Amino acid sequence: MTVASRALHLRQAVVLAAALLVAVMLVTEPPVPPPLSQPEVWLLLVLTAGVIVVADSRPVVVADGRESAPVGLTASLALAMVAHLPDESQVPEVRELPSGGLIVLVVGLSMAAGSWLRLRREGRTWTMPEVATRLLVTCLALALMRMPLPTGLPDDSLVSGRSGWTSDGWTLALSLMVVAGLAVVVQLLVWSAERSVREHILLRHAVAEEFIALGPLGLGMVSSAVMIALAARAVGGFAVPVFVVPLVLLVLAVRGQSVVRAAQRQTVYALSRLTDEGGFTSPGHAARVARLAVQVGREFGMPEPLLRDVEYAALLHDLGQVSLDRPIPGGATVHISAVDQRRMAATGAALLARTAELSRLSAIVAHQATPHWRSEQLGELPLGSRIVRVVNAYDDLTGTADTRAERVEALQRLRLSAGYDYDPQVLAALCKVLRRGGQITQDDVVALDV
Amino acid sequence: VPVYVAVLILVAAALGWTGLLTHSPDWSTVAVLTFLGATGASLSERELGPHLGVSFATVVLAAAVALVGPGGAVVVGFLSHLLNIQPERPRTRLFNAAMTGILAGVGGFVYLAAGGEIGVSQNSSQWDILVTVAVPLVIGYAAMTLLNTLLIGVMIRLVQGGPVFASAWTVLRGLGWGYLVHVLLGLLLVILWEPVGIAEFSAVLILGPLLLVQWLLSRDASERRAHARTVSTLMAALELANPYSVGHSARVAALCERMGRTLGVSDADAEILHYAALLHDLGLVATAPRLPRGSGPVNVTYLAAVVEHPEAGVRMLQDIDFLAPALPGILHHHERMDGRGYPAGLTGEEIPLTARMIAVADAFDSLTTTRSYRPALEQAAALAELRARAGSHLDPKVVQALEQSLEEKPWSPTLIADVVLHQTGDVYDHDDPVVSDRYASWQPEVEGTRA
Repeated sequence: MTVASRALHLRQAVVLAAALLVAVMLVTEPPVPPPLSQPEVWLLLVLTAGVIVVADSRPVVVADGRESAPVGLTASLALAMVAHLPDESQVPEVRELPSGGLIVLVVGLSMAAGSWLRLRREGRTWTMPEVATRLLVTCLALALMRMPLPTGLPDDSLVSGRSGWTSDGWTLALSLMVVAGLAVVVQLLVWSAERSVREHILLRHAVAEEFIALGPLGLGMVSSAVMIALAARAVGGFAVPVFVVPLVLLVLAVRGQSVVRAAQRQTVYALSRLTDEGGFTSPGHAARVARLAVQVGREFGMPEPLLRDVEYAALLHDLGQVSLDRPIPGGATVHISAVDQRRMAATGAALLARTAELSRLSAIVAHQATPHWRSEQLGELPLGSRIVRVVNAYDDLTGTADTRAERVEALQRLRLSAGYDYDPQVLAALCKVLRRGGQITQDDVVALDV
Repeated sequence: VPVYVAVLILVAAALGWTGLLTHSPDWSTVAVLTFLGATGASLSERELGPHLGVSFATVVLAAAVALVGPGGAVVVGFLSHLLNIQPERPRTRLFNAAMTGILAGVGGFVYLAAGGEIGVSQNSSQWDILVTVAVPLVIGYAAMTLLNTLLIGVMIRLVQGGPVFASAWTVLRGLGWGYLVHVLLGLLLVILWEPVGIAEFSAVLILGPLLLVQWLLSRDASERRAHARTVSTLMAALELANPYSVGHSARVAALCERMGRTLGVSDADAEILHYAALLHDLGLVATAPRLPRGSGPVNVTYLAAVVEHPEAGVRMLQDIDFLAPALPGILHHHERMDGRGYPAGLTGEEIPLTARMIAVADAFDSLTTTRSYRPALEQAAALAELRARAGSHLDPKVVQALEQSLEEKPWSPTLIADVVLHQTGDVYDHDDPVVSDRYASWQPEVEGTRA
């Protein structure tokens, strides 16, 4: 199965599941508007819808380019979790709460409105699977709120509050935390599955990375949703816009962090162009090597932090050339003597070793010049260096002129020194990546016998 | 100063005593809030960079005013700063504790005077909460903030001198509107604590995210510092390729920082200036190997190669977002006041101030460094040379700023050993004002003003 078709299946599954849950919710609790005699319910619905529309119209980029609208998601969850509104104690028999169907409808419509505003602001909308995931999570929270509690009383749930279970603040708060926590976990799992399929990484790595990257934000979303649901008892619908403030602060902090990450990334890319400016390397060489090296690294199941190191090391692998008096023709290190290769790699590594942030790249950059056979004496070389060595040689040999015949010829040359100069496993992974991208055919791979 | 601190402690004690007589607080709540406040005070971090830092301790203090009344709030405020685990001088610790205690007490009394109630019942409507908690709390908090800045103003006067109100105003402006977030968060804590009735659990819910915020911001600040260090280290490492340029960028950055203080450059602009000064010759490092070498008068081939470097540098840096404000300074650092510089031929005030400052620092550092064709000049001689060029080549205001800043602390010339000179051979220095004059002499006369 190809990546594209697997992604399609995943999206279909999410949309289908959401549609099913929404349908069940609409049938069991029809979306009838509350009577005008219940201003509290109207206030809650209108303010929540307002917050969702505003939040969804301006998504934030958090942690390496993940786009999301945490405030919108939190408001949706909180609406599903509100179990008490003020003045309710006067007539205990009448539940002054919006029905589940109405809540789903309000969330869906507000998200659509936010999506439309987003389209006008930045020319993009939320996609169908994204809307579906939000509805799925909201329905999950609604369902959990309606689950029977282990008290033995009939029709006792968090939302109906028949038993004394919910009168104790701590128990209620903890139960709500469980509900919100499960909902947020499901949301993170869907995101991980989506990323695992899209970027061709192991699901287990994708899940781990997603939880590390978005964990703090997830905790903030859970606690904010619980706070809103609890505070609605005292201040009604006003709880929604007021109690998202801590979450907004958290979002700003998380975003500030991705600004620093972006600065690091941009700095490395700028450094990689240093040798281009000096005329040492052919323009774009470093970027091409980096892209291919990351794909090969994924083939080995490397986790994201290590992949980033491989990417940066690949970008900076020619940095040592700035110390040369005159540029190498075409900048292709594959053509120069092994001694010169090592000297340049060492210069680049020494440059990087001086900085605190990039010093861990220095080992990868240094060993890119070490031929594979030396690993018998030196012990296992870093996987990153072996990858950069093979991919760099491949790009030097193919250069900018790029036809299938040339690619196969370059791979044949690498194949001849595989095991001596180059790591055969890395070469095999490179062939796999190229074949998947359609740059070479299956027959070529068989003919190469890697 | 010790007298001032002692007076503050006495005032705090008096306020606390009266407060306790007015309203006797729930001591378990006071204990929990004190613990939270002390945790917050111990975690506070300065130098967060361009972020809105949220002080955990301030949020707890604002909440204490409405939860335990003036007396309890004095106890919370005093103890949370006294129990701060960060190392502090005893005098500072006592000052902070006493000041916070007084603030809490005054805030508590203002809160009561504005109609605030302590201990709101679970059955009050949201309008009750607005009138008896929210509005009085905001008024009380405003009083606390004003008093805070005044007390700091008095302390500044005692330590450094200067008018009380002016210092207080500076402190107040430094806080900005973002400071109101504290009272809002304090209000949220109060609402969850009492009308909702989950007491201590509200601290988990509301202070949890705040702790995360604080943690993220401090990590962010340290990463930011690490990144700034990386940029300067890399630049220094790249300069090693040419022995004549070793340390040049760092020295130009240091000179610019001095001039910036004399010229009254703001903190934000100072950071931009720092990066621009540090990276102004990055393009030259990249193109250095292609530069023709030689001795004797500067020739056209050399100039043609060297004029590219400001643009080359900008080309490399243009995709780095945080450096975007520094690019004009890098691009125009070889412009001349008379419009005969490169790359754009701007005149006078058209040249960005950062670029004019870098130009002066650049020329000064070049003159005070050993060159293959002349020894390093002493500070006085170099300044005389710059003064002669004020108006035609350099900005007179900036040259004057440099002179002023050098009066405070003199500059020692950078000497390069003969051994290095023999190894490297003759190299032109593109920063030498002579080169700029050479370039200018090839330019056509400037016709009127340029668009």
